[in-house]
Amino acid sequence: MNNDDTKYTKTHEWVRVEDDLARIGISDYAQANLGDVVGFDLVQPGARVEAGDSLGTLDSVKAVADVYSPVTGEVVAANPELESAPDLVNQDSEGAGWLVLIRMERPTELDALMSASEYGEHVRAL
Amino acid sequence: MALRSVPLEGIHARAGARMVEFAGWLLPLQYGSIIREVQAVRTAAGLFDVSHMGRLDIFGAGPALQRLLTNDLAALRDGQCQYTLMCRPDGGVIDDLIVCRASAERFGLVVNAANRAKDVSWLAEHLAGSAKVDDRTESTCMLALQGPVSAELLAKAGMPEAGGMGRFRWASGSLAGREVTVSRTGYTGEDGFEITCANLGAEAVWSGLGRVGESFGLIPCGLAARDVLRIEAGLPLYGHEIGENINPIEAGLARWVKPDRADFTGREAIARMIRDGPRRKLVGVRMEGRAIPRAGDTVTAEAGDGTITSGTFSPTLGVGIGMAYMPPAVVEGDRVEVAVHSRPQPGRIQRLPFVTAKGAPSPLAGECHGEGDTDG
Repeated sequence: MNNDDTKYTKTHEWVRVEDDLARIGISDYAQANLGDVVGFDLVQPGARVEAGDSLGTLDSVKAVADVYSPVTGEVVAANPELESAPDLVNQDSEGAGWLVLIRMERPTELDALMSASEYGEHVRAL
Repeated sequence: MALRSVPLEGIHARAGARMVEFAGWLLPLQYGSIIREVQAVRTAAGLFDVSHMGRLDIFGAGPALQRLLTNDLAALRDGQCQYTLMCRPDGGVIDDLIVCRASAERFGLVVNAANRAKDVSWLAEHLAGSAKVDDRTESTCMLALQGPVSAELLAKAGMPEAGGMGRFRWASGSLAGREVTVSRTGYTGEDGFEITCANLGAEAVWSGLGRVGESFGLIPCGLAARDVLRIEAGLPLYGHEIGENINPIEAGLARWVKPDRADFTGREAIARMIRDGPRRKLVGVRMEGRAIPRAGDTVTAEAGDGTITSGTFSPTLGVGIGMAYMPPAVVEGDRVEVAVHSRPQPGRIQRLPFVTAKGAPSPLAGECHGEGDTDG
């Protein structure tokens, strides 16, 4: 689900703005590389993160991947669906498989991120 | 040093395999979903390219060969194989391997890829001058067909005698019109066969099995699935559960070490350890939450601390599992904490294996480690 407002990081996270909230997940490219997601250990609501801080990890069968926050702010929600279905991250990484919702302190941080097409270029060059 | 490619690399590339470096070889890690590959082996069958494994033919070794191996070599008949270990004088494990007997004068060893050079040197140093060691690794391929439908599949592919082969027996045969040797062995805890053929015939054998296997649900499987399956089956991996600083008794491999029946390098050290008792023992750890243990994670129990040697998510059990060296006083059912990403996560000690044939979870009061696959 790439709408025009989705932004991407070099580390394969995506962000979508909803008022002052940022919904964050990993890109489809990232989930394909990670493989079947079978577990996760993510920051809890209430935690404050700076842009670039780790939001926690996603476990695939044989690997662990760090997820990084594109923005600074307070985590207000973690995706409750993941508890019973971590593979949502594979099924719909850019939609229902979102990871956390953050209340942004500095929305201008988004200006430094890539658009969907820029991210597409970035991935093709890898 | 340049990586070695397996002869079947073209086939793996066309099948979309993600490749990985392992022991100096470029091998298929996975073809798609690791979970799907593990499930296929537990319910139908999977086909692995394990050509990196060392294959050594030994001629004219005489009694010198037994002196290097811990299991009772004299118990082997022509056409039989056994799991065995090669140890140092202090009891440390040089390698774990399968030895197959063709005749009193001729044996075949299947050794870990990472230890092949070391093994060849050790054999050269310790076998008498009359012995000849022929390294067949680079002129042959080895495929592992593993899963409950393996025998039926092989029968349909041209070896009807496969079904009648006992576990740990080997035989010559023909698949896709190519000469093969087939042993009823494997590293997954399921029924299965390991198939060796000359490089030239490998593509035909792989493709032939693939064609016949379609109706059985056979899929190609890579190293990632292989590692998950062997952890589920409680089987050791050299460099993790066994190594030069690990005694076979600690590793739970007493069944394949026979100091009363054979004289071999390391016998005294091992007999002493049996007598005195090991200082640590290999056990299973089954997680209780979502966390997945990984090699190196610390395990804390009331009886003392230990370390995870191998860990993974188990698709068969739906939970994280691992093997760990713990103080000998731990017992099955003991609560533990595993430091996963440095955070303590709850688990319990469980006897190995976690899973037995056809994907059945092992009953908690099951047989000791090494069930089935390493018998000899």
